[in-house]
Parts: sequence; C-alpha cells; structure tokens
Amino acid sequence: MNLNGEQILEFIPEPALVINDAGIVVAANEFFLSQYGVKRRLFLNTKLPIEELICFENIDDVHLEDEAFKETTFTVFPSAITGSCLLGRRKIDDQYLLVLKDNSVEVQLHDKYQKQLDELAEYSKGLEEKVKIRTRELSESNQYISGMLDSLNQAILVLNAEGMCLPHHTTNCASIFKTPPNGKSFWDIIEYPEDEQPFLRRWISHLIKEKINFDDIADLGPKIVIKNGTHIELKYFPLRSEKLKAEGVVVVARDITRIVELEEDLHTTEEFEKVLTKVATNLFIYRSAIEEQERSLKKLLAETVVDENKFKKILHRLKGSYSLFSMHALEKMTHQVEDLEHCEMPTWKSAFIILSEETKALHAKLANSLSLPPTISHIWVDQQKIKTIAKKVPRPYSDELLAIATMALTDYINSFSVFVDELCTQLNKKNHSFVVQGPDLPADYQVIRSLQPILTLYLRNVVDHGFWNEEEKNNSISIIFNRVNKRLNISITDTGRGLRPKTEQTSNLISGRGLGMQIIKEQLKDINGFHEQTFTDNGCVLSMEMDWPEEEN
Amino acid sequence: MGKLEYKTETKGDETVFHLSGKIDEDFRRKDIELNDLKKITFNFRDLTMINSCGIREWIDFLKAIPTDVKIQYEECTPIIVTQMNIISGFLRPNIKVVSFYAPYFDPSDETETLHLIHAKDITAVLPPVVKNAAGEQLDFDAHPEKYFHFLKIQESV
Repeated sequence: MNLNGEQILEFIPEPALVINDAGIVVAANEFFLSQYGVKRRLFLNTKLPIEELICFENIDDVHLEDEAFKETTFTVFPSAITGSCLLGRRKIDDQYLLVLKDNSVEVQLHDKYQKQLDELAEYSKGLEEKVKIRTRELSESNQYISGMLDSLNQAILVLNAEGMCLPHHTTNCASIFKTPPNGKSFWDIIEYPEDEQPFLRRWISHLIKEKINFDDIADLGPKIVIKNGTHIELKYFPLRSEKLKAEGVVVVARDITRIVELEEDLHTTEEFEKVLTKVATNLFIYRSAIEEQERSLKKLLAETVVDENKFKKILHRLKGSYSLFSMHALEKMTHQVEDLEHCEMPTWKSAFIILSEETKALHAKLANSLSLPPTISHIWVDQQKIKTIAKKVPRPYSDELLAIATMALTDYINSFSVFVDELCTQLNKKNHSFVVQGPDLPADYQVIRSLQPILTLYLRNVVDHGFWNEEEKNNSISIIFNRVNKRLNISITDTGRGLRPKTEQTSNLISGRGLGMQIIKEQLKDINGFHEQTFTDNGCVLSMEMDWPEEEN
Repeated sequence: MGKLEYKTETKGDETVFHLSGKIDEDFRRKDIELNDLKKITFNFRDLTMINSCGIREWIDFLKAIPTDVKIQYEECTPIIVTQMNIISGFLRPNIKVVSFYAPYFDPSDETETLHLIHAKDITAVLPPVVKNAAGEQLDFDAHPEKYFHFLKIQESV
C-alpha cells in the first residue's frame, strides 16, 4: 500500500503536525495551520524547532511515544493562541506524528458548567438555609399563635360545609366541649338534639353558601349550649379564601358558666337589696307584713288534714304579703305551692316547711343587714304606752310624742303607690296617678293589720286585670276614706277596664285565681265589715266599711 | 467582546446584518431577527470568534431560514473561510460568498496582512495579485487551492 503521507495528514480531522527526531517541524495539516493561525512558510523553508512553534505545559518530552492521549494545555507562539487538548504521539519510522484533539471548548464549557453548578449548589445551600430559617420562624409564629389562642380560654374550631370539624382547632376545645372535636360533627360536639340536627346541617350549609349575609345567618345559630352543667357561648365567623369566599365556619366557644353564676348571684343580690331598701324605708309596714306572714305560715304548719281551698287562700294572702316587699323568690315559691293539686298531706307539709324556713331565713338576713333586734316586736312602737306618757306631759311635747307614735292613715295608704308602680313595671303598664284623700286619722295598728292584706290583694288585682296595657289609656287609682262615728269607710276607684267577675282571667304569679276577693270578704268579716264592688265602663269601685277601734281614754 | 451583537443596514431590498462579537454556545437562533426578509447579507468583518458549539448553532440557524431567502456572506475573515472549507452545512444552496479576506505576506518587511477579495475576481483558484506601496508583489500566505476550496463547495451545493 503506497499512501501519500501529506494526504493522510490532511484527512485527520484534528490539528496535526509532524516533527523529526531532532524536534524540527516537518509538516502540519491545514486544520492545524488555520486553527492556530500558523503560516506554512514558517517551517517550509526554515528549520523550526517544535519548542518555538508550540509549548505543551504538561508534556516533558514530545518524543516519548505514548499509547494514550494525554491532556495538556498549550500555547501556539506565532498567534499566541492558547488552549487545551488531548495530545496523541506516535512514532512512525523516524518521525513523530502529533495530533492535538482540541478540547478547549469542552474544557471551557465544563468550567462554565461547573461554575454554574457551584453557583447553583451555593444558591441551593442558601435557599435551604433560608427555608430552614423561615420554617423555624413559621414554627415559632405558629407556637406563639397557638399559645395565644390556647391562653384565650376560648375553644376555636373550624367546620366545613358538611358541619364536620377540621383538624385545626385549639387545645381548649377538649376541655370546653368535654370531648376532642377532631373529625366529629358540630351537632355531636355540642350534643344538639337529634330532631333539630337537620336544621343545623342546613344552617351551616347556608352560612358557607352566603346567599344571604353571613352575619345575618350566623345570628340564627345556637348561641349558648349547656353541656354537663357548663354554659358555652358560641360565636361564628367566616373562614375566607383569598378570593374572599367563605370556605368554612370558625366557631369560637367560651365557657361562661362562671359569668352566668355571677349574674345569678348579682341578680339575687340586687333582689335582696331591693327588698332591703323597701324594708328599711317602710319598717312600719314591714312589721305588719312579717306578722301577717308568720301568722299565715303558722296556720299552714298547724294543718293536719288536706283542705286545698283553705290552703290556697292562705297561700294567696301570703303571696300578696311577699309581693308587697318585692320578695320575688318567696312569691314564686308560694305560687308553685299554690299549683299543687291532689297531693297528700306530707307533700303539702314539706312545701309549707320549706316556705317557712325560707321566709325565716330571709327575715333573719334582713334583720342582720339592718341591725334589727332579733324579735320583730321591738320594731313596733308601743302606741298605747306613748299615748299614756303623752297625757302626762304638757303640750307641745305631748303632740311631738304622739306624732312619733303614730303614722297618718293617709301616709300609710299612700305608701302602696310604690307597690302599684312596681307591679306596673313588672307588667309593662303605666300608673298615671295614685291619689289618697281622707281626714287626719292615725294609722292604727288594728286597722293596718286588717287593711294590709286587703289593699295588697285588691291593688294587685286592679293592676293585673283592670289596668290598660295601651299607653294612651289612663290608669289611675283614687282611694278615699272617712271615719263616721266608729266606722271607717274606704272606697278604691280605678279607671281600668273594670274587674268584672265574668271577665276571663288567666292565672299568673300576681293574680287570677279568684281568691283575692274571697280573702277580702273574709278579712272584712273579722272586723265587722263588708264590701261592695261596682263596675262601670270607666273602671271599678270597691267600697268597704269596717269598725274603727275604740280609743282608750 | 462578549456575545454576538449586530446592526442592520438596508440597501434597497437587501438587509445587511453587521455581526460582531462571538458565535459560541450562548448563541441562539432567535438572537438574530430576520422578520420574513427575503434578501439578507451577513457581514463577518467584526466577528472575533466562532467555536464548535457556535458552528453547530449557526448551521441550525441557517437550516431554519426558508430556502427562498437569498443569503450573502461578505467580508468573511479567515476563521469563517476555514469553517466554510471544512464544515458541511456552512454553505447552502441559497448562500453566496460575495467577498472574503485573504492573507498576504510581504517578504520585504516580513509583514502579514489581510486583503479583501471579491469572489468574482477569483479565476482558476489563483489568488489575485496584491502589491505593496513600493509596487512589489505580495506572497499569498496560504495554500491557494485549500484556501479557495469553499468556492468549489459553493458551486457544488
């Protein structure tokens, strides 16, 4: 085979050159010359040592035959081109063929790629660090938020459209609802009555649909539930997406048991203070009332045989007495006892005992608060004794003493205006006037004892059944009394709708059982009195006549 | 000089793209906007480098140009001439080389210079005669047959 060496050299698809044993460049292919800007004339007519043409940094001796291509950097001197190549060396006869497989671009790309990878790694590292920091911050924030929410003493949970509790809720849920809410329905959590659960389902679904304003619908939901004696207040808020669409319902629950208890305590205290104020400003009447109550309770406790009609009359009178001093708890209790029917004596007895004990307890509490002496008789001024003393001293001292000992009958009857006003407030009615007219008579103890239950029961009836509800109608009471010889006449006129016996009446706490007038009749009978009731289109008139106690000389 | 840049110049219905910088791995076809032009000229005078990655991209770029678009190469530097001589695809049927630089050597002062040659002036693969200021003829500083080989390729594609 006779091949032209120069043609073979040209065919090599890499820069190639040939040197002789002495290291003189003999030939180079066009690829080499054009790639590295070398002129053929440099070695064509002159001896050009390889060291003056090109320098391989990592090759000690280009003459060494090496089977493998060796990587090296190089510099071509005439053009000052530098690069990187895989240098292959092969001795053929007495010449050496050098092939430079130029990998400058690969090296550059590799370096560039490596640099970018390093940058990417650095960036990723930075990113990881940032993610780690952000995650830690987020976790801390979550801890703070959870801590804050948990310390609010409120249970917060989120419901989906099906009313199911989502996994996100505060730890207080378990203690407030007495059950972990996770995965449970809202009706199960609050133990909502089964027959009303469909309403709750529809309500939650409407809350999320928001066809109607969320707050308006939320207002229809359960506001307070009582679970195992715990009062739980519930409030609802929308859980909105970024597009402000309601996606869930946030339920905020609060244990308000203590608040309810405090409110009850406060109510009891307020009630007691009301009674206390009344007693303190009406000690005179209080004695009469307390005697009335003691007498009634004593009678009840002495009973051995069931006589419902009798019991109810006494109880009714007792109730009136309680209401006179706004003793509402006792009033209610008496009303409940009044409602007993077809009971055996022990049931009645135990009810009377409780009533008696509660009455005694209240009076003891009142006496303690007002620093009254333990026996109620001390409150009452012994009128007879003062009258006797008054006779022994000259005027005007005698007049002053008598003034202390007695209260004017007008003032006594007038004191019922407060009672009438309170009843009106209770029944959302208005009392326009309460007028008392009569001569200057003392409020005799005997008279008051009889008058008190009469006035209490009758005025309760007037306000409850006679007085108009309508604001524009006039409700007024006028009481006129007079003493003729040894008889006392009293007429009570009201401008109500008339207390006609046939008027249909509904029993309530205040009146309506039809016992009041029976009691009045019996009471009057005890003091040799009677009554007459007349009805007009403009109201009703009760006329009474009774004995006036004989005065001692 | 960094990545490839260009300026355009309109000569009648012809648009000349004056390329400068490098054609390397960062070059992308979309870097040169042809906008449905039908007559294009690429001027390579200020192109400083083209590497193997750049050649590959350039050939892909040429392939994407519709064949009815007439392309001219002008002022091709020796590096472009070398690529035209050895890389298939650098010249296509719709490409015509108008002018190129050729190396000359002045023996009187041993200087190397590049001279712009118009392709039409080449006859029988003989380099045009170039003289120095003293009127002495300069040596063509390359193998004429090999250097002008692209002209043959151009005729054959």
